[in-house]
Amino acid sequence: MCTQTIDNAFPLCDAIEALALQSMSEQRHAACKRLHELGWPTKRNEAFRYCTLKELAETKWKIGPVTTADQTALNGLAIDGTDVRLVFVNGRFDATASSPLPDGVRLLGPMLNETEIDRVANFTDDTFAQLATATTEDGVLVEVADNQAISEPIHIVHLSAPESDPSTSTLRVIIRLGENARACVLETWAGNGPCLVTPMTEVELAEGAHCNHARLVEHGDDVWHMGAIASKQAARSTFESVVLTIGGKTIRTLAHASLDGEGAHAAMRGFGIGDDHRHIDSRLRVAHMAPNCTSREIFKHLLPDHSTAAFTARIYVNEGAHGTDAVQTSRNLLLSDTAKAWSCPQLEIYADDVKCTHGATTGEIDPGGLFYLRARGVPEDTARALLAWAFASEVINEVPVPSLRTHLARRILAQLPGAEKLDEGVVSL
Amino acid sequence: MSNDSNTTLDQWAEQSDYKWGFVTDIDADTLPPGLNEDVIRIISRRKEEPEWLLKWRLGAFEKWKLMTEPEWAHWPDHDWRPLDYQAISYYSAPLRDEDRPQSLDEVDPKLLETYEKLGIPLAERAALAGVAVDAVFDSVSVATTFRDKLAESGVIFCSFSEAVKDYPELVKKYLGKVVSRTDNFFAALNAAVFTDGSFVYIPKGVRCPMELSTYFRINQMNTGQFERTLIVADEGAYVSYLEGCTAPQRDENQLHAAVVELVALEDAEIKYSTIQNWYPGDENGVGGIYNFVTKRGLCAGDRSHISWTQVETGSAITWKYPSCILKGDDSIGEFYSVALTNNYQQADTGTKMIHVGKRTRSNIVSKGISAGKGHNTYRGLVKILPGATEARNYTQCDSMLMGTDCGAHTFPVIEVENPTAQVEHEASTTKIGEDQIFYCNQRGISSEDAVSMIVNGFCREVFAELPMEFAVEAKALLAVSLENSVG
Repeated sequence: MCTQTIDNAFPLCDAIEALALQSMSEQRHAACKRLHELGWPTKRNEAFRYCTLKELAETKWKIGPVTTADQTALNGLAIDGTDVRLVFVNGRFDATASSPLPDGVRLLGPMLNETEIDRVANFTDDTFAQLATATTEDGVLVEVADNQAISEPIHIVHLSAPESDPSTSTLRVIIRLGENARACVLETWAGNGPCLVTPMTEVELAEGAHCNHARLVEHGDDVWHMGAIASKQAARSTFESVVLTIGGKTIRTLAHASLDGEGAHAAMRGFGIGDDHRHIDSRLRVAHMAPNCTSREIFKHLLPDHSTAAFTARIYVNEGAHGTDAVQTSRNLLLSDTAKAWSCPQLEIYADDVKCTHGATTGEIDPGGLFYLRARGVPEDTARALLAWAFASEVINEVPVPSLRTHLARRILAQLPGAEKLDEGVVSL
Repeated sequence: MSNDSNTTLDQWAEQSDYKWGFVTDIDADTLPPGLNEDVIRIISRRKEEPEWLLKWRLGAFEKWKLMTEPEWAHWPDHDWRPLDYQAISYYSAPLRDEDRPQSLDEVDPKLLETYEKLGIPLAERAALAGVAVDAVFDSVSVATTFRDKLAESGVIFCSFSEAVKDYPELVKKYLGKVVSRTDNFFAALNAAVFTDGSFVYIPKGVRCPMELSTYFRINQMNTGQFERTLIVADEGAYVSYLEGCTAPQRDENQLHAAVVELVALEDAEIKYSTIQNWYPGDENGVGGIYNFVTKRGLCAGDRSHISWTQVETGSAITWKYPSCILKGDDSIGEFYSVALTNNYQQADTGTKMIHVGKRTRSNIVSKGISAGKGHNTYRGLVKILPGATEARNYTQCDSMLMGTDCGAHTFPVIEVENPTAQVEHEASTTKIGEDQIFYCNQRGISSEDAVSMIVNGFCREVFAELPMEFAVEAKALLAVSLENSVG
């Protein structure tokens, strides 16, 4: 058996059924049914081979309670230069903590219109994606008309705030950009557990559209973050996404990008810092369906203690997708004897005029580099922090939004022991 | 498309029915198709095996019955159907002389043409085509001649059944120690029904005076599709072993499920080279061998070294992963591979390098060439266990695509559990550029020769690892296999 039944989570099942009944939505019913068929995945399921989900499967989950945001927690999550902030707590919109909605942004809720969701996402074999569809209560739709742009970044904050019982929550973010439209959407996932969150973001880009997307995972140590991002791109559109992980217990990101129109470009980046027994799992699939598309994937992990990271990515080049240019990179830095890294960078190619490369490296901090800095009087922890930052900066410097870049850099530096001694000037942002 | 392939498969199935029926009727020493305990007992009795080996076989069979045929291989252009294991005959005596072609005149002229292109001596051509040739070229006697010479240095090189009789202690000590009898579906099947194979033992400190090869015993190998090879290099020993044939064999077996086990003790080195050119099926993908082989080497001692080199141009489906378990400290594992698929051939091949000991090193160079509707998949694992301090791996996988209907796929898995390890993986996919061909044409080189030249350049790193004669043959073989693949 690759899975374990979800029946142990009675309260959750009941709540899901109630939601399905209430919404009269076929999608919810289907997701509910599929959820029971799939059950909780185990390690024997190839897609979850590196995740330890026993504890999750044994927990009696409930849907998160209705509550409001903790203001101090929110203040710590603010991103400079971002005035538009939408706050969700346990999957539900918190109007008091949020700023007014700009043009082109609307809320989907409390009961989502089923024609809006799962237009792009198609994760029929993923328990958590099904759970997301079955339990979604609120969502955000960012819809920009042809040749329009939302100039400011939209910051979506999701806080998990369970009471005493372990709870689940989800939020649907839908980004739909018209021809040559532009938008930038930032998501922050924070809050404490015990919690299971199942974020789901769907991106649909028309010809020439340009979307910047970032997901920051800053949960407490007892949060399971099982998220997904699905994107579909028409000709000459660009999708730039980055996932930064600096919190949580198990963080899994399932990202599927489909380059359907000629000349589309997708960049998927990820950086994660491990801690204690944290596990960071990234499963990507970039499908080149049309000629002359380009894609870039770079995922890096810094792994101390018992932390682990798994990177499984596939570049799929369809027949006739000539002129494809795809690069896939996975790099891991192991900082302790007990940290582990697994990489499976895969290529599946059915066209001959293509340029596809992938690279994976895993190792420790370069002793030569460390010696060089030590010889110049840099204390060891600072030297390590500097080298770790150099490792991270390859991902961060590629992020196209300057304010986000600064924010990510600060977040990462705050996690590195010894980095406080680094002059901000050293870290070129 | 699906209709067509159904028809061809049906035709193919018909052929195979005919084939097995034919064998059953005429030869008293051939078991009827089917697999059960009795068949295994009969095989064991025919081979006059000791009781422990029979038990070992039966144990494997018990496990095999509980296993299911794996389905994970990546064969996009092959209408794969699980095999009917009860339709295969598991024991067949060598072809009797009167059943073989009596002279080269009776051999398929297409086959002879290929031999001609490969530059194989006339006498060998006859042997390869399975012609009943005179005693001088009888492979068994040839092997025996060399065996005396080998015995002078204490090297044991004999068939597996002989080894079971003459060196039971050695066989018992090492059999199944690297590829256990229940390792995987095909290995378990092989353990239950293997009929013969090769056994090599190189004593302490001996450098084997010549390159050993199964080439000489090719007729014997024809007897069973489940052969088992066991090579043991004792402390400080060295052996280079060549496997396979240099021309298309008229092998009628559908399934070829062999097991190869290598054991290298302290300071020992084993170099294992394969040129695999089983019948690949015709241009429409009808027929051909299913080559499902388990090959694994154990670097048991410190500073031991195992090197796999393979050139895979044949078989309808190839499914093999020659691997190394690097247990001894400072041990080295190497894998060099060229896999070529043309027409409807599918190759899913690669290696596993399991780093257990300290300062273990592994090097993987894989070159895949796809033409026609062929698909080539590299599937590999590099695993660094927590104790493998300062382990080092470098992997390079390059693919070349020729034509628009073929595919090249790379599925590596890298698992690192020790921070001091350095693991690198690189892969690239290219095609032969029109500018390259144009450049050659301009200088009076035909397109076909240009392709052959470019492909040989692409594979150079692997060919450099092959023994001299093999390298020459490998180059010729690639050229033959790629014929008509470029307009």
